[in-house]
Amino acid sequence: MEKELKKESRLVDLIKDQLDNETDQLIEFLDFKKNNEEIIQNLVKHNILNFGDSQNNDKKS
Amino acid sequence: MIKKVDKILNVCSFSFFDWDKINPAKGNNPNDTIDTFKKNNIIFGENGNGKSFLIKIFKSFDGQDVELIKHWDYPSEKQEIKLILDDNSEALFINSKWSNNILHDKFIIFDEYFVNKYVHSLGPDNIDTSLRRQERGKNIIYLGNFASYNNEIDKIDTLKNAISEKNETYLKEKESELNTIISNKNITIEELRENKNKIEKLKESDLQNRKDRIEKEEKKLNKISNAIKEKNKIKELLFLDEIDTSFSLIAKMIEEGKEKEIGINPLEIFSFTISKGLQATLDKIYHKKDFIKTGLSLLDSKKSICPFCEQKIKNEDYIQIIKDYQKIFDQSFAEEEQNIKKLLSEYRKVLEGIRDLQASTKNKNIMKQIIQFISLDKELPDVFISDEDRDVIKNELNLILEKEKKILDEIKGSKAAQIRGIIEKTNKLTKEYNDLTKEVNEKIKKLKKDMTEGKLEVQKSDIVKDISELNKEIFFIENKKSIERYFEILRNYENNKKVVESLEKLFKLLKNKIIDEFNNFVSNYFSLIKSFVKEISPTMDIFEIEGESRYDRRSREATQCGFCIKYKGEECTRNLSEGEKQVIALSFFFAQLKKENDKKKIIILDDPIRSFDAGKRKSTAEVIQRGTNDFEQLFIFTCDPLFREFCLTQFPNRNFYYIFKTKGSSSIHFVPKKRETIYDSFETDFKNMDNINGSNENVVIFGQKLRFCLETKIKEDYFGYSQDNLSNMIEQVSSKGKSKFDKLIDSKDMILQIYNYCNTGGLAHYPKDGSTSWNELKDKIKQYLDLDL
Repeated sequence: MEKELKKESRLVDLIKDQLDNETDQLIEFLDFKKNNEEIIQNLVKHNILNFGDSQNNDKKS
Repeated sequence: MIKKVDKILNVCSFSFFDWDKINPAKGNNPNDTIDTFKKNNIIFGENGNGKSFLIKIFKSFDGQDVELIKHWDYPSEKQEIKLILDDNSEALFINSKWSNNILHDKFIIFDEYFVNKYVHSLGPDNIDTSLRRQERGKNIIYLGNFASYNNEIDKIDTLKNAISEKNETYLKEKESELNTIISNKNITIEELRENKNKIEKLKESDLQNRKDRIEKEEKKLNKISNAIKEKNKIKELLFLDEIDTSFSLIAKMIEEGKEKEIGINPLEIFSFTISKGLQATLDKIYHKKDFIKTGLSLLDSKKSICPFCEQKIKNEDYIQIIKDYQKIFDQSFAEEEQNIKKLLSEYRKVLEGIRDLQASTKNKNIMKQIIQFISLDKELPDVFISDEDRDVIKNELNLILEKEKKILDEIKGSKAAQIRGIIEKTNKLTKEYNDLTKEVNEKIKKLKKDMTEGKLEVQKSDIVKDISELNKEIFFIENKKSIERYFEILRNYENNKKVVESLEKLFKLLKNKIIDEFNNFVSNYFSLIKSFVKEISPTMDIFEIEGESRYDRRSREATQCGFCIKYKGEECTRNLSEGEKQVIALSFFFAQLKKENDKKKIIILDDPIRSFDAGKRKSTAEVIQRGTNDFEQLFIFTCDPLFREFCLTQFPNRNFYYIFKTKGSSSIHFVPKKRETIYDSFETDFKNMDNINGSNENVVIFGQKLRFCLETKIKEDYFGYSQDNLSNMIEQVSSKGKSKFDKLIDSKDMILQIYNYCNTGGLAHYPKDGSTSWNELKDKIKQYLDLDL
């Protein structure tokens, strides 16, 4: 049997029913154990944030 | 209910624990009762012997996210844990996996983690600064999940600010780059944004069109500037004359006393002859005589037999025929001839009109003046016919002259079709000329009117604006790639901003939610926590929790939901000691137990009296007994001998175990009731030393056992350390008797010598260099046993 882990209760999980789709999707990427820059990088990676410049053909963050 | 921990292989400090080997059916003393876990279980062990690891194992079975590491000496060996429950079912952990989840979510655990997770004092700390005070807002204590909830809110807020700041920098950097291009052109970023749709529609191919339009507008500007300068000239400007002639091959003729429009057919006119005249005449009068009608039907120019006399005839013979019938059609023929002459005359007039057509020279002079002030798309056309057409007309006029001379002769060579084409062309030219004349006149009229009404300046300003716009459009086209890149960045910026807005929305929702949650928490737990605090620590008799959720930080950061604690009327949150923190944590834990509906759970308490004084130890044991009585099973872990004694007294239906490291592995030892002082058990082991392998590990283990027995026995038996109050202590000490104390004093040098031996040299640590031998230790243990303390 696979290891099943208890998830710590989060406040964001208690308000899920009050969220619109976009915000609901957003909180999936909010890992509170990571620092802000890591979270931002992750949001950039999933195209939720974009700090890119097509001339440079990259997604700076 | 857990019956026993049957086996633990290679998990943390338990390298090889086998319940049945450590706790055989019959103990060292054949009269000992070996028992498995009961409803209540007290497990004693000094620090570093494996208590916390056993709790970790329980947490893992509970489904909590804990890592069960391998024993440091056996990093590549397999792991195994087997728990046997009271119905003889098994819970197995093999190779990092559980065989089932029968113990999943079965435990409620109080330990240091619980204290640190659920009790947070936000009073001042060693680096208390004004910023920290501002962040903290107030001396406050969080219970339950509120510290992590608050962290979430803080996180959302700081993340939102970080993204927002990054986004603004992102846009500003790009705008700054773009500004270096646009500032020279007097274009602003705002203009680019406002004209976004327009710019996106502009194409490379529009460039020439815009340049042409600028050229045109500049001409217009020049003219309107002239008009503003020379207003008097505008006043005096004349209007153009139109050409009022139109050409057509239609003549107005009087027929039977009425005016009629008759088409001029040059070919018909030029082919007019006697026979034709006759034919036309007869045609007119055929209704007068039946025979003429009959004859006409048979007559044409090719007939050689007269239909009337049936004689052979020649052309000249028609004259006779005419003469013969002169009475009948003389008048009519003359009319026909006259008509032809009239038509010839009309035809000539048309041709001469075209030949002599020319525009007014006055118009040309006017045009020279107005062109300084008015823009015209077209110039007035030259109104005259080409030389080729002129020759055709000249030739046709000659034919007319010839025909007029010989009216009854057929004249050939007319170019009637070409003439019709020339007429059409000339009319078209005239119309074009007149249309333009009208248009120019309208413009002159408007110019005069605009001048009078003072509109010319406004028009000039509009043209200047148009030119400026066109210049910008040209710039946009020429720099479209850079500008579109900016728009892309702008789109990214707007999308990023939406994420920031979502986070702001989330922040507000969380802020409201935490207040709701806090209010619920207060109503569910507040009075319970308070009553448990009073019970465990009666000296903390004033324990005020200001359970009002609020948002009172100076800056708009996370919501403050917490409690304020007062002691003797003074706020003491900032001075909360570890012991007080433990009291609050334990009270919260018992409040939770009170609210727990599932009484089938197993309660684990890891050193619940950490940092407590003796009085709290006793009250805690009582609270535990009451608070856990309804639950399925209880395990109390402690390293505190006094608390151990309280628990052993408090729980009648219980078993007692100690955890100790033997042979390099932690192990759980059952302690029969009659030998519940641990040193009794150890002393039994000492007496059995000859059968034990004198390994380095056992040197350490038995060395520690020796130190424990010496210290604990003296402390507990001679000084009453395990008693909760003075009278019990005195009772305990008195029961030893004077002789025992005399013996203790007499043996003090030996006791200290053994004690120092235990705390120094290789015994305190692993004897790497073999500095302490098994035999040496055996001698020391023998000396201890001989003391007969």
